[in-house]
Amino acid sequence: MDEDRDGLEGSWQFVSKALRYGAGVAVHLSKLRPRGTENKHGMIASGPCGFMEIYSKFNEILRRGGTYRNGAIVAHLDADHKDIVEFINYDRSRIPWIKRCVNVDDDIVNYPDTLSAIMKGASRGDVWIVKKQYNKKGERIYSNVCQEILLKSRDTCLLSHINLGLTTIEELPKAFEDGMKFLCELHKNSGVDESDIYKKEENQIGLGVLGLANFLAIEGIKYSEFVAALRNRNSGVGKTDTKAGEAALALYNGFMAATKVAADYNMDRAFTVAPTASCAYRYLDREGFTTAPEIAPPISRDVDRDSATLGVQSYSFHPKCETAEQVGWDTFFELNSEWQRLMDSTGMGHAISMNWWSDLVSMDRKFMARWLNSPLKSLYYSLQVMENTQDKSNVSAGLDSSEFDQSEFDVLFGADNEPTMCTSCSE
Amino acid sequence: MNKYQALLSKKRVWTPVKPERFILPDEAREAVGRCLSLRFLELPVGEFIRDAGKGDLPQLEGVKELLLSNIVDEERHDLALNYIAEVSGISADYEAEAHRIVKAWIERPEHPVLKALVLERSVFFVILPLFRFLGGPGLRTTSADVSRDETVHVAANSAVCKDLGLRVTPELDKLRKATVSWMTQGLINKSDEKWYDRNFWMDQSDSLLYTGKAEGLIETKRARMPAFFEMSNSDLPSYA
Repeated sequence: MDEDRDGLEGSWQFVSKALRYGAGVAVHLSKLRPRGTENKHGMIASGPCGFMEIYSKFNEILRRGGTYRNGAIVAHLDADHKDIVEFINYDRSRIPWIKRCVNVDDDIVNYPDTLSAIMKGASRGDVWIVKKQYNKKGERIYSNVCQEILLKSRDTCLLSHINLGLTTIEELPKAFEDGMKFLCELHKNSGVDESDIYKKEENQIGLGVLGLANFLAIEGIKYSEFVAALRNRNSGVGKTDTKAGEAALALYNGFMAATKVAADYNMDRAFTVAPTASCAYRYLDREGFTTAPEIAPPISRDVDRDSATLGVQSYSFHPKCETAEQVGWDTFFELNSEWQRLMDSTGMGHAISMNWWSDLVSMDRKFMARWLNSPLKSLYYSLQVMENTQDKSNVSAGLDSSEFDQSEFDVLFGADNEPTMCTSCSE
Repeated sequence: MNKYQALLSKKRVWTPVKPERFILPDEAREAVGRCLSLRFLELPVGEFIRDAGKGDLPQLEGVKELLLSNIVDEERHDLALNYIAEVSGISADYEAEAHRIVKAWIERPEHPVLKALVLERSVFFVILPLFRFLGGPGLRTTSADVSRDETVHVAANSAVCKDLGLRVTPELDKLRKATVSWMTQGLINKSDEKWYDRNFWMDQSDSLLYTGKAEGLIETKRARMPAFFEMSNSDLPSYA
C-alpha cells in the first residue's frame, strides 16, 4: 500500500475485490508514515497499525458473511518501521481476522530491542517473520499470504502441487516436468492481467509438493536419510546406492526438467513449497491414506483439523509416517534448507512456508542467527508438535520412563481399600 | 535429572486468550456449563498443593519447584476458564451449586496432594475431553492448552502420593463420583453418540481413577491442528 500512489482507499478497493473473489491478500503497510508524523500540510499520521482493524473487518464481513469463501488477509510491516513494536504487540482481539508478518533484514541482530520484540511476538504466535527479498533487478518483491510466493505489488500467485504420496521414485522427474507444463500453460491463459484487480509485472508461478511424509514412509526412507542424501546431491556428491540417494537424484532431475520447461515459458520464478494446509487433507497417497501437508512430517499420525468455519474433521496419515517429534527440529530445519537450496539452484526459487515447532525449540538469538544464516526466507506458524499432550485415555500418555513410573499410578488403592462400589452404576 | 525435574522441563508456557463467543449444541449446553462452573476448583487445587508444601514432601531436588509451578498453572487455568465463562455465559446457573461442591472438596480431611490428584486424574481428565468434543473453537483451544499441564500435574502428584504412601479413601471416591455425576447432568443417560452419553463420562472417570486408563477416550490421542486462517485470532493459542 502506498499513501501517495493509490491512496488508502485504493488498497481497500483492491482488498475488497480480492476477498470477494475468495483470494488471499497480503497488504504491506511500511510506506505509511509512523504514528504522530506530521506531513507538509500539518496532518498528523495515525500510523499503519490501526488500519489493520479495517482490513480485519473487511475479511470478517466479506469472507465470513453468508456462505464460506476461501480467503485471508495478512498485514506486513518492515522491522525498521518506527511503529514495528506497536504492530507486533497490537491486541489480537482488535484484529481477529488478519494475520501479521514482520519483514527483516539480515542485520536485525544489530537491533536487539526490535529483535526481542519480534521473537516474543513470534513465540506467542502473533507474528510471522520473513526476510526482505529482491528480484534479479534488485527491485523489492513481497511475500504472499502464506509466505511461499515472492511477487511484485499487485501481482498474484498461481500454484499447484505434486502429490508425492502418489508418486514413485521413478515417476518423480516426469511429475515435475508435467506439473510445470500444466502451470505454465495455465498462466499463459489465465488472463489475470486483463482483470481490473491484478497486475502481471513478472512471470511467476509456484510449483510445489505435498505428501513428502507419505512418500518417504511408502519408500521406507527416513527423513534423516533423505536430508543427508539431498545435502549430498546439492553439494554435487550425490550417491545412488541407497533408496534415499535414488529419491534425491530423482527429485533433482525433476527440478532440472521442470526448470527447462519454466525457462521456455520465460518464468522469473517457478518453484515453491506452500503450506497446503487445506488441500493436502483432500488427497490420498497410493496406499489410501491422507497426504501430509507439504514436506513436513505430520504432528501426529491421526489429526483433528479444527476450523471455526468447517468444524472438526479427523484424518489419518500413513501409519508408517514419521511424526514431527520423531523427526526432530534439526532434521526438519536442514530439510527445508536443502530444499530451498535446490529451488534456488534453478534460479527460479520462491520460498518455503516453513512452520517452526515452538514446543521443541525456543526462539532465541541463537535460533534467529541460524535462520538468518540459512537460505530460508520465512518463519511461518508457531506449531506445537509434541505428541499425546491431549491424550486423556491414559494418565501416563505423553510421558516417558524418566518422567513417570507406572507403579505411581497403581498405588492409589491399597489392599485394604479396593474400590467397593460397582464402577458402572455407582451403587 | 530426576523425574520431578524431567516433568518440570516438560512444561510449555502459554497465555490465556479471551476467545470469540461460541454456540453450543442444545444437548451439550448444560453439561458444558456445569463443567465450566467447576473452574472454581482450579484455585483450591493450587491451594491444596501450596498446603502440601508446608508439610512433608519427598526430599528430592525439583519437587518444590515443580509443585510451585503447578500452582501457577492452576491460576492460569482459572483465568482461561473465566474468559470462556465470560464470553459464553453458560455457567452462571450452576455456579452456586459448584461453590458447594468446591467447599466439600476443601473440607475433606485427606492429604491435599491426594485431593488434587483425584480431582485432576478423574475429574479434570474427564472435563477436558468433554470440552474438546462438545465445546466451541475457543473452548477446544483452552482444553488443548490446559491438557498438557494436567498430564504433568497428575504425574507429579502421583509421584508425591506414592512417596508419601497416600491412598484414596472411599469417602473421597464418593465425592469424586458425586462431582462427576453432578457435572454431567444434562446429558442423556444412554445415548448412541457417546459424547452425549452421561454414563460414558461416569465410566471414564471411574476407569481413570481405578486403572489410570480410559479406553473410551482413545480419540483424545489425535493431535489437534488449528486451521489458522479459518479461526479468529482470539480462538488461536498464544504461547510464551
